[in-house]
Amino acid sequence: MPVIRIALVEDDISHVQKIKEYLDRFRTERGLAFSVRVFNDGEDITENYAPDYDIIFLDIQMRFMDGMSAARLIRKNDPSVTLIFLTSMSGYAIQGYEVDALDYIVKPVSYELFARKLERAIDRLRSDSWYSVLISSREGTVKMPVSRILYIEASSHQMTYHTKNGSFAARGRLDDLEKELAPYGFFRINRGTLVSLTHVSAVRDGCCVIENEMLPISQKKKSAFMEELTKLL
Amino acid sequence: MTPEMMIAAPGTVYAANFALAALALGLSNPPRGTLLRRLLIGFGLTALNILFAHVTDFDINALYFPTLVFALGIAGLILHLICDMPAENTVYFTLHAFIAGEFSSAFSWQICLFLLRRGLLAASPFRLNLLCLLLSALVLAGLGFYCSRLSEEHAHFRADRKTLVSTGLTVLGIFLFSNISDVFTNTPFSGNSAFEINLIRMLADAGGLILLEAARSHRAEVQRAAQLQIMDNLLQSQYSSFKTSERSMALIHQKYHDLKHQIAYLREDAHSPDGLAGLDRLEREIRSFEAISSTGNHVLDTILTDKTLQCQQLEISLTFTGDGRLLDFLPPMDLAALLGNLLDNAIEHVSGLSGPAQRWIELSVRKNAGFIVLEVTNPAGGDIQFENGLPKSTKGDDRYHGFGTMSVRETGERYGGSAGFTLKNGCFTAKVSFAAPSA
Repeated sequence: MPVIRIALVEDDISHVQKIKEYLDRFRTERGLAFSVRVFNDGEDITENYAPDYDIIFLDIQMRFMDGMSAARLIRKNDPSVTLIFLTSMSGYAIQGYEVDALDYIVKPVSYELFARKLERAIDRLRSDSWYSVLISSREGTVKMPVSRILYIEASSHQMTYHTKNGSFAARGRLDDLEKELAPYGFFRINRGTLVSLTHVSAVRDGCCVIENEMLPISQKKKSAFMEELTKLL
Repeated sequence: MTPEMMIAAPGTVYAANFALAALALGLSNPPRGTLLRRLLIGFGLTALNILFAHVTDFDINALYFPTLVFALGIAGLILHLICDMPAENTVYFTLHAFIAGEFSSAFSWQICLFLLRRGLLAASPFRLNLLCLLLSALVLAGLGFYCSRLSEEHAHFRADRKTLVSTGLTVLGIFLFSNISDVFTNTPFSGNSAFEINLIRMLADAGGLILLEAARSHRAEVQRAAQLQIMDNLLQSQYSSFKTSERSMALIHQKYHDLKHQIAYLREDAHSPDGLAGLDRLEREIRSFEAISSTGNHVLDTILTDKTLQCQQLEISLTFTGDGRLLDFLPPMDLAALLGNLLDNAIEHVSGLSGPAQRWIELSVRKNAGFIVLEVTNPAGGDIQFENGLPKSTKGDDRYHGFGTMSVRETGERYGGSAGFTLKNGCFTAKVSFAAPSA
């Protein structure tokens, strides 16, 4: 795992101190490498923003530019960075979904809770490049990260991988792939289709929607499919 | 073949039928393992049963009862191995398998006897055995097909002790009636010829089977209705507790505003610095009553405020993040029951844990892809067992608990989503999804 690049945007010095302590402790406990940059206001990070971070902790309440406005500006330049909001106001509405925030931390935060949230964020970073399958097609063998696979279709002994990098035809059995990929959030929606649940954008008319493709879910699998999907939402 | 031997189907056919009937009835219950595994176990043990019956020459002789007990034991073992259900249910369905096996054997044998009488079949014992076995396997395949359609009905089916006693007595009665001619040839209910004797047996078993099925389907119906009733009561009680706290909060709010105006009025008359300081302090103190939560959703605010107060007393920190307005599409009744269920379960669980690091609950509402997600996370003390993807109730008697989580899932499903429960890194997470209403 390469160095994890973290930005902390927070105007309260005591909180900055505390979170830096937590990060240090987490780094020693897990044997990870972090680089941490601290900004004292939303304005400081958004001015000449460069997408150099893996995780950004953003305080919601700041003097010049609040966390939500900063997040909107950051999202414009950086669609993939993980955003985690810090707030001292529990029980108030935050429109985190607008900027696709991963999580919220309510201050004051205990180390255990902070570590859990950070762990989840790092897990997600890793899963992007974490596990790959080898696809042997006629054109040669491709190593494909599972996170780029959208769904796999099978007809007699011929399988088609639909991925973010295009489609590949290969030999193999869907039964074997189903077992191999189940831990990575793949689900068999009917006899011939294995889908990646993380790429499902909606479910309607008995079909799940992946990149505007409508893939039919068999009636018998519907309930289990919705349950597994919910766990990953 | 002597005429005495003709009065009933061969013992090996009976042994095979008990086992196959168990396999067929097993299809109506929550499965254990893949279909292939279940079929292998079913057919493997059927073969064992046939072999044993062949060795002991399963017929009216000294070894009759031991062989019968062994054959039924195997039927019970099949049900135990292929179904995920309590022991009482295994016994219950073994009793059913007994009568179903008796019927299919007698039914097939009657056809064999008919063909024999018409001279359409040579009286070779081997051929007769084989034909009888094949015919009865067909009957039981039909039973298996019927049973596989009942699995929904049996997901929460429970046979209690009273049921077992009454079913056991019924089965004993059917068994005695159907076999009376084997032992006593001279009663008003005994037959004379093999054809007659077996016909009586078959009719008694058919009647018995219909009786058992009627009782089973009635029982399943009654249990289902009782479960719905419990879920409905739960919903009602959560909703009425929401209504109560809504009323008391409205009252507190009104008192707060009255008090605020009175303080402002008093301030005009107060001149001493002590008096003013006192009013300042009073104002600060009552401010906490203004509105504890403002998530954007009225039902969520009320329940959250209520539960926050409850949590404060128990020294549990309850935090909410997200946007409550995302839940506006849910009718208050459903939302109140859902939140009440989830938070009550979390509070109950967490209050049993020690240490402030363990006493927290996080509630959040998010939008993800085409779904609204309501999530409750809390530390899990010890191991949590799951059944059908739902956490098993820790409250002992599982016939009446666990309905909270069942109703949570049902609510999600009603709005195009579902519910998922996971245990990871020592934390228990309950997520409920809904299809996001199209704006």
